[in-house]
Amino acid sequence: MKPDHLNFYIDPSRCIGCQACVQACSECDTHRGESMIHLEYVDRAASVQTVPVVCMHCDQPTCAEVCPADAIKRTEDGVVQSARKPRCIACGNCVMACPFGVPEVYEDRKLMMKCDMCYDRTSIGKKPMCATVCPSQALFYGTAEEIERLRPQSIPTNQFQFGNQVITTRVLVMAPRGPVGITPSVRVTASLDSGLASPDPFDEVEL
Amino acid sequence: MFRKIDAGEIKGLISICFNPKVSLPDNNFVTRCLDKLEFYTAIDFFLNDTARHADIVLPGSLHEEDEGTVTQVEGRVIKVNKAVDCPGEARQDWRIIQDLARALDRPHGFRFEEPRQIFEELRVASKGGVADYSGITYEKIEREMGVFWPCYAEDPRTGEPIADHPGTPRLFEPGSYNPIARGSGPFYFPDGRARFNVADYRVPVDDAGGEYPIFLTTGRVVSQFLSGTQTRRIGPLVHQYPEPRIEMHPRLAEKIGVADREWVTAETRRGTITLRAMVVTTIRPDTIFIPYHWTGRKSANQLTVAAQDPISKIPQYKVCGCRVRKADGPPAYDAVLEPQQ
Repeated sequence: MKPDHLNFYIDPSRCIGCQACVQACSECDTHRGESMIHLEYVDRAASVQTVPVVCMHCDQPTCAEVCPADAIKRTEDGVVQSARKPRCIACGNCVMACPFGVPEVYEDRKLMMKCDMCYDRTSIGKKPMCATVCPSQALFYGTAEEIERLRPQSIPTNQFQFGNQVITTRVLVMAPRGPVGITPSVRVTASLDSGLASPDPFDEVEL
Repeated sequence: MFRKIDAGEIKGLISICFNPKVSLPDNNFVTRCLDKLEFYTAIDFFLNDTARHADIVLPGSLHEEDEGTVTQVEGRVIKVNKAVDCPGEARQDWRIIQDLARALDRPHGFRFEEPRQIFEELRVASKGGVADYSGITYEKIEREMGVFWPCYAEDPRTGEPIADHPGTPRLFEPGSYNPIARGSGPFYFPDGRARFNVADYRVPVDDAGGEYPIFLTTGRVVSQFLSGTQTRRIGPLVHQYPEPRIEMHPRLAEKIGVADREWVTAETRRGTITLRAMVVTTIRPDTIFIPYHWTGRKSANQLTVAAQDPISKIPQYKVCGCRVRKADGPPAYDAVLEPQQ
């Protein structure tokens, strides 16, 4: 059973794209050679910003709802498991349905596999592997008090809106505190806007 | 060293963990020099690109196969413990060196039986120096998860024994002692004061301009380590960044008429390379970047200049003049696998 006071926090703004999480994940014995974490560039042509994507572990997992074979189970402690091998028919419905783009079908073995928050570890109180190797705490596993102390400028959120669907998740994403806050992060949004409008930094460079 | 090989002053070479065919600038010159050696022995844990030029290869060890200490850049001395035995005929580097010394009939100073004895000698030899290890023991390192030098067995001011010196996590604290200032201040000058050094700008030896108007700068990608002797063998790391690409700005790409992932030839006064373009706005328009970890015709150091910083002797990997043009298609060497593949 995953201890209730320990949470998984993702802070994409802290990700440096080192891929340590990807390598650590792919070394796991339960899915050796395959990484269950997706580390994506947002737009490499324009920026070096990367985003680590793990399973968000939805309270009502869309992947499980659309699965015709009932192969995706959510444990009572809120962790959505990888597809059950005897049941999964590799139809890919979950791949299409997941709003976060997490599940992946492995055609060679006709099986969907995805992040299960290292259930073999987290169910006995250990941290997920990716969070143990992340050098910048973009992937952080700990208590609400710890994250509050570490990141006073950010607020964890676990509610996401996709069209008419509102999703609540076990995994939390760190977001800058909103405009009503009294912290300087209000201006983070402002400078981002002006940054987008700013001229090419290499405008002066002759070619 | 390679200039001395070229001039015939060095005729024989023994190297440990050395892959200059990938890591040194102007490496076509390096390769010619390796072939010029009358005798070359390479000690390495894998048969890397340079070791393939050796007359004799002595299989060495990885740190997982040996024991000892490593001092990190912050001055923290940490312990490395042996996890596995060397495979096959491979042996620990220090044992190979001792055997060579014995074979040369010069065994004095090479009679260690275990790494701890070598560390004990380092403690004695460094005593009284800036990086004083005399107070560091294997047990203390393990107990404290690393110890920072200087760590004294005796008070450097009085010579009085110190039972358990805590080491020095932060250098240059007010009132700290070092053997150069001798108490007159915390810094490594006789008066104990620090200096601000004025660095005058020097034009690079092979500056961009004229026929070679673009700056070439080289560096690393995150999935590869140094010359790739270890990391070009590991599937997931190769997969992460399978081949070097030429990073360039969209303005330069437009000027030479290439799109992202199309083939580009970069040329300097020393060599040419044809690789796929990676078009990004995160680089200056007058500069291209090529990572250096690969070998043979995919090696960025075919292009770099063998000029050095006059003080640090670091090669000018970060700047030389080059020109770029669109290539007709992939070069023949694109499809050639490396020996370990």
